[in-house]
Amino acid sequence: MNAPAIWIIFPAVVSIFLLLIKNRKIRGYLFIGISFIFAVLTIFIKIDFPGEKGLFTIGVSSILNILGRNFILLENDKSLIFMIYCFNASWGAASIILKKHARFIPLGLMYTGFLLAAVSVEPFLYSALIIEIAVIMSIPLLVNSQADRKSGISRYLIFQTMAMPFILLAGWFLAGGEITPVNSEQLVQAILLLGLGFIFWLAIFPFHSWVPMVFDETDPIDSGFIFLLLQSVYFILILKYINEFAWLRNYPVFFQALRFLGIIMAGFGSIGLFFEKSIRKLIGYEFLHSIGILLVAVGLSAARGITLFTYLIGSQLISFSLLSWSVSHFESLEKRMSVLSFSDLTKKRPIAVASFLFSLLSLSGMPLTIGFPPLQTLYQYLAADYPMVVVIMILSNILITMTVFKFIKEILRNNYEFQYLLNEVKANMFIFSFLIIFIISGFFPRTILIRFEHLVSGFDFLIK
Amino acid sequence: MFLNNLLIFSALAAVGLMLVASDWRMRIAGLASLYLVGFIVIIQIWPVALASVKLISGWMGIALLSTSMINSMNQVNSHRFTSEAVFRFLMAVLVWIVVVAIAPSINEWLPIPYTNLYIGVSLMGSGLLFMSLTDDFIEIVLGLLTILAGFDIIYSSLEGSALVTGIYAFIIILICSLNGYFSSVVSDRKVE
Repeated sequence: MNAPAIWIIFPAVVSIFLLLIKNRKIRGYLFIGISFIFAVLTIFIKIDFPGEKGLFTIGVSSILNILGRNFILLENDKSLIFMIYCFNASWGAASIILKKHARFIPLGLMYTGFLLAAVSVEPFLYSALIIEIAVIMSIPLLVNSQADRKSGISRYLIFQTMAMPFILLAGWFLAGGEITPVNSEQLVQAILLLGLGFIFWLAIFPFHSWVPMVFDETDPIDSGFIFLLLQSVYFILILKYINEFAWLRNYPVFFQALRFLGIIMAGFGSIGLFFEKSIRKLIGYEFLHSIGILLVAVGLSAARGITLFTYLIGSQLISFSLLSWSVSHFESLEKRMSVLSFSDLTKKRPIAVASFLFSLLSLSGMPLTIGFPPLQTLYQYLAADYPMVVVIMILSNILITMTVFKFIKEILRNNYEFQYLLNEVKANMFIFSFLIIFIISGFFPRTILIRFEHLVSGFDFLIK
Repeated sequence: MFLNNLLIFSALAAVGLMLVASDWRMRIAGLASLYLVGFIVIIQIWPVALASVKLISGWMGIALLSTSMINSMNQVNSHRFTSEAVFRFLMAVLVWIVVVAIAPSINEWLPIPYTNLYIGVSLMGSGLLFMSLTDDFIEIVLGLLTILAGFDIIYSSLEGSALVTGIYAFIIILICSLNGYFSSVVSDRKVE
């Protein structure tokens, strides 16, 4: 038995069997249970464990060989596996509690399997091909076959497919250059190709137009699940590239480019969010803004940037999940809501509205939210070396905060009493309890964020 | 030399047909010819068994596309004005001329035979043009397949790997199935 078979092949096979179950509810519960089991297995299974195994410990090999290529999951990767399957289970639970027919149940397990396969394949240039399969199979998980609007989905498919040739060609250039590339000209060519590939993958300006469109065309519970996982895996792949190629992490222009693109994305995202009228598209712009912040963190280059990145991705996963669930909950009242109808929502869905506002505040780094400590640290690092970047970053977050204040102003203008809030607490216990944990976590953020530090424990050269 | 010129001419003719024709059958026939040209180009570098995987997967994809188009209510047979056809063709010619100009520079980066490079880059450029002139999903799929066929010719000239060939074939079939998914008559929501 080997680790890739357990966490990549089995989930994919199980998801096909789950498709045979007609009852949506049972299928949903099984999805949660199985995801949870795969997460818990990371505790009991030791990969390539040399010593004696305990009573509840199972030892497995790390390598699965397919057609001469290896899929390798090491002990260090277990935190990523745990995080991904916990993410699956929590999103499955959210979809059931919010009474949503999530399209990612049950094939989300297979999607997860493909993403893990992309992270584990060696040589890792093949990850581009596996990611492409994951992208294609994510499309039926996002939209109904009879969807009236498909422009965003078409663009998503086009741009993600365009990335594949660039990454494959970059891989071919880099094949002989794990330590040093043959010459400086080859280095420029490889970086250019790699950069173009990642620009398409991460929807970086000017290839970002599909993000708000796709978010507008799909239910937030589906788009959130698909894109949060995809974005996390893309960043893990970027780190993997930086970790593997010594010359890449010693090439200052690369990190400069990451910071530059990051700041553009953060700026574009926040401006789009400020002026957006559709709530679904607003999440899309927030997604772009998050990508920008993560890129800036990775662009800090040194070990501090990578550790900070883990905190940022941790806080963003939590905040963005809450944001998507809240919007999905609004939409049980009306599809594709406008920000103009926001004040009416406070009467019908007060907890969801509070969660929506708090998660936006967290994503903008407001104090006493989980997003504050990592963003504040990022400002601190940037202020020391790149004052211009920190100014744009703060301005972009001010725009998001102003958007939240606009919402609050709208609520206060139309509502004089909040007594219905207490009645709603009972009805929305799930989101309410998550909101309380979310607020409390803002006081003790390190207890949660430190868990995400293990995500990069395998990248020895980066976190030294 | 003659074979190389013939291959270039055939590839451009096939992609030209795809761009100009208004009947979906003609466009799909153009794509099928592209896969055949690609196969003949790749067979000069790779063993027949591996090269034929490309042809078979491409034609399987075309069979899927055709089946979904026949079953679809919305068969893309929109009438095209002569001016539109001329415009599309001239745009394609422009792309091919640009490729003639830039191919030698790209050839310095990618040390592969000029014929393979020219056909590959021309197909990628034409596919991009094809996709940019429409918002119809079937045409986007055809454009994507053209781009992928072009890239396949370039990448196969650089590296031969059984796993890449297998996954690539799988991707082609998945993209074609996606068209089937979107052109299905009955909504999956209604079924459930």
